[in-house]
Amino acid sequence: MSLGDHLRFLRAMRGGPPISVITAQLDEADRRKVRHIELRYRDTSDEDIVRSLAGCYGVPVEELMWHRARSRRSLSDYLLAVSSESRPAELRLRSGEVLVGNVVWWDLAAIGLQPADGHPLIVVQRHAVVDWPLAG
Amino acid sequence: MPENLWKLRKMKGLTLEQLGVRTGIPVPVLRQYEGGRALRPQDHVKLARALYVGVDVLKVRSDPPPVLPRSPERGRGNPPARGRPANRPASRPAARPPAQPKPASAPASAAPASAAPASAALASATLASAALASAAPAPKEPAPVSQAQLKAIDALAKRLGLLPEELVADLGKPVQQLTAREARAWLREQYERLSSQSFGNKMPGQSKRAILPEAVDAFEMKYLTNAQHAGARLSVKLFNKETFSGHLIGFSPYALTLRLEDGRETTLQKLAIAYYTREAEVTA
Repeated sequence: MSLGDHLRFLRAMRGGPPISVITAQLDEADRRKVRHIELRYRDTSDEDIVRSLAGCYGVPVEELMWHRARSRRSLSDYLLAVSSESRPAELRLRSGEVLVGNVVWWDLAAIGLQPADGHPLIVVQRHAVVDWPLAG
Repeated sequence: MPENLWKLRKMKGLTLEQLGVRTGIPVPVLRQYEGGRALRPQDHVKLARALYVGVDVLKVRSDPPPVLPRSPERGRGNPPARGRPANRPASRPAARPPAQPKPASAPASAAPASAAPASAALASATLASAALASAAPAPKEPAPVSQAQLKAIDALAKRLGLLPEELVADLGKPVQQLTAREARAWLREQYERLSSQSFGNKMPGQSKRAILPEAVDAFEMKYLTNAQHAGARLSVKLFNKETFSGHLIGFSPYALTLRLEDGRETTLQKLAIAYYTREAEVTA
């Protein structure tokens, strides 16, 4: 799960207040950056903003850094690699489940995963995927 | 920014009939909505779901779509009314002048004086109608190729490795002599060719969309559309391991709406969903 997805998740778990409420203690420029990180999946190489965000949400900095290393692009690279090599993908979800199957398609929001046991296609939400073998 | 219904429909590559099937709204009503009639609230929600957009993205009252230049006999207007000649502009002014010489109760001495302006009015009306009649059938000049199209053609030719003379041969005429429509057709054809060559995982008919799957929501939308049309039951698992099972009756980029076993409808935010799948025994 990317940092943007994780921030959205954290905000939802706090009842879904606007980003501006969460980031009220930050200055205007940082608020804009946070907005871009969450809504437009912008990467940030600015560790200070990640530290500030950890303060805003009351979570360890390491947690946000861990998610920062698992960007959407990194997940796409993994999906591309396994599908081009015809290998099954292995996706660990936030719920703790691990789904294994061949990638049939993926897009902006979801991944179509075909399990090997003949079950119907599983549509996994990208924001639910927290980890995968090549991540980090 | 809210968008017009007709524009969203075209962006999604749907016909009015397909949108009608997806929403259950009759095509004539959809046509009225696209023409500017205000959407009924329940239809607004249905249309937003079917077009895979948020309700706030779809305008309640669409601006009428722009009229493309077409040949006069293929105009968008209604067919001429029964018993009336097809060339309405010519017939209308001609029908009015007889009403003008009204002062029938005027004294006899005044009759010649009032008759003269009446005949003059009749003559001018006839001239006007003749002018209209001669102006109406003149076909519109096709719009010339635009600067933006020229730039796009130039860039695309470079990308395709076409030499200037090869480009002219491919187009059938020099670039500057193209009409906007010809340029559009050529560009569309080349983009489709390029995108079909460069990315195999692309959905057919989506040539206007970006090639990278990260930029499209089409695959999930197609899956959900098929599931909804097939009346499939979905099993949806949330982050908190709760599972919902029911018939898919609506969806948007942000939510799925299911009709549960007991007949209740529930909308699940995608942010809370981990994954979902069709229930095998129902789809078999």
